[in-house]
Amino acid sequence: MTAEPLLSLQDLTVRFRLPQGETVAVDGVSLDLAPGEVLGIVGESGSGKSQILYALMGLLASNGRAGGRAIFQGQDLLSLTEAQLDRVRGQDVSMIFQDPMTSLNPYTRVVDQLAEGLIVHKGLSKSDARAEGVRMLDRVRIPDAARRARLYPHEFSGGMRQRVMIAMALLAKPKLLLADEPTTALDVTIQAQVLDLMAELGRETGTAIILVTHDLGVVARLCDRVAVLYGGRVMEEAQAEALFDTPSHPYTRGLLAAMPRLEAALTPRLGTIPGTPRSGGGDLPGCPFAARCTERLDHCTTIRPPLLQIAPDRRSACHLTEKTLGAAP
Amino acid sequence: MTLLEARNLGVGYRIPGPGLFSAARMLPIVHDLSLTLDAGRTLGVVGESGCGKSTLGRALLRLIVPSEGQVLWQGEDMTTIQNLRRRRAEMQIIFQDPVAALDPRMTLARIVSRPLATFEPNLSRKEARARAVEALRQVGLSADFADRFPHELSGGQAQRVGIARAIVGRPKLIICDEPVSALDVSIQAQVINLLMELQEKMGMALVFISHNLAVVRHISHEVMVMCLGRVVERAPRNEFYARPLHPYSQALMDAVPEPDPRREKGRVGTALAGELPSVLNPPPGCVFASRCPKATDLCRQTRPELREVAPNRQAACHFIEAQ
Repeated sequence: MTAEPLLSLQDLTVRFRLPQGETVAVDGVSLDLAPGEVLGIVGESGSGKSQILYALMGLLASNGRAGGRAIFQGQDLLSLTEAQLDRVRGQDVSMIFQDPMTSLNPYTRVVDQLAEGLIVHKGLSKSDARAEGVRMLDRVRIPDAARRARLYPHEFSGGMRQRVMIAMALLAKPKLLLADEPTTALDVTIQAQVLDLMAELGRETGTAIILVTHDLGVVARLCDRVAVLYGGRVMEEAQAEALFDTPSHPYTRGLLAAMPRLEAALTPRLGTIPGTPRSGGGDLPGCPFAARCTERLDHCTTIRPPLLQIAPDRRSACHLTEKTLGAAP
Repeated sequence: MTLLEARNLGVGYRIPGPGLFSAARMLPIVHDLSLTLDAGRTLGVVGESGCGKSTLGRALLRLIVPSEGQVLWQGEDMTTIQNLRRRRAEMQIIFQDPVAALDPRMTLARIVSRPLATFEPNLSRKEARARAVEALRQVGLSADFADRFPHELSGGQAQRVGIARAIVGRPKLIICDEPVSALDVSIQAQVINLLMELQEKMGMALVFISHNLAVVRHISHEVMVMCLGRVVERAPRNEFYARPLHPYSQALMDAVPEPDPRREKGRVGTALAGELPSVLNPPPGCVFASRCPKATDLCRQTRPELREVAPNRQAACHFIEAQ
């Protein structure tokens, strides 16, 4: 990447204090995001993927603590005061969540929820802000936007609510949109509409997006670059095409083989990864995936594989690739 | 051999009337649905939320009493089967939320052996436990799971227990209602493989209800697509996925994102416009007319009947011959 990154995560960690001790949910994640870029963070439950976004927005649960640095436009988001963070949130950085209903206020008309941010952050008058809100609803293709804007969230369908969330997130023209499983609760046909909308608006406004998802298909549709997360660590990071064409990490290969597809030739059985996904891996000396890895080497459980550059724009954390790299001239 | 048959099945729920004091009314969910399922086969039932697929699954087992039509179990009318409770050993169900489906206060051995108290009341406790341990083993859980409790399990393990409970009575049919939707990709694959292996070993038929077309492709012999309570297409698996005939099936197929960036990036902007009409207010014509790119006035006014459009293939669309 030649341009100055918009966001640079440097050794980001997220820990939670629990009655039985401390657990590490995100364990030293370093990632850069260029302006306008769409980065996918993929992982199974417990991989820590959503906690990265919550840490950036200052939304961790009260027993959670973020460490490391998250440099956004020259300032470290993790060291901002609540008041400073409030100016960043909703202005430069917005977030959308999996369940739009729990993020919308059920007692407030949609148009007033849309207008609120513009009044607070941009100093618009109430009527200007409302007009802007209706325009945005129209842009996310809510039919009959002027009338619907006066309705309450429960009067919208799930797909429409998610579009309202996107409208709200993009109203302030943020430089960065954080999307946490934005289409997981939607039917496929509605998911396709929402993904199209995100791609289109992202391109138009130049907003960079971090998309957190468990669905490799969604990643393929929307993302320029992908980081695969397991046990709180980045296993592999690459341009989307490269990752899907030649997955390098055994975990990425396992995930792709386990995914049933519509177009590939049918096999008698799906590929599987033995065992169950683990939450966090900070307490392990070795690779968090080692216990489930079918290509495990002796030292995988004792020595943590570093995230190494294996090709231009491509990193992988695996002793296996390390070995082949070392063998190469 | 036909194991299960539904004839013109209609299923609905009673809902409150429109006004405070008006009488309750029937909200029809599944309309005029017929199907047959042979022993040892898998019928995949696909559709979006609210299409009636789960209601259908429950009505097939008479967990909901159908309002119209008949369900025949091995030729016998479900409504007149003697001793249906005990006969349920032959027809089982597994659910989407595997943890919610297990009693948190029972050990796994008790959960899995519980159905045997009804199905085979003459078994001793020891025999029943042995059968439970055997069923757990068949789903890949070792004997030391027998005395654990549901909260000690991951989602995938809990679904395995749900499957063990379903197979302990040696069923001929299992209704699988979105059994892998709540599971991680790597666990989803394990559970699908397990169901396919069990079917090969034990020969039971499956009705596999899912919103995920790719999963259904993998496990089914035949596929049925539902939209707003009606079947819009039914076909053998390979034929269906090679060339879906109904515009709704095509739209569903198009909407699934595949893990292939070149295919996916090339088709931004192809999504269907509009949303499904409400179940409360179904359209008079074709269920898909409001979103169908090919719809005409005929489609909006007259409902197309489900009919044979090719050998073994049925579809409900006015325009399929024209294609």
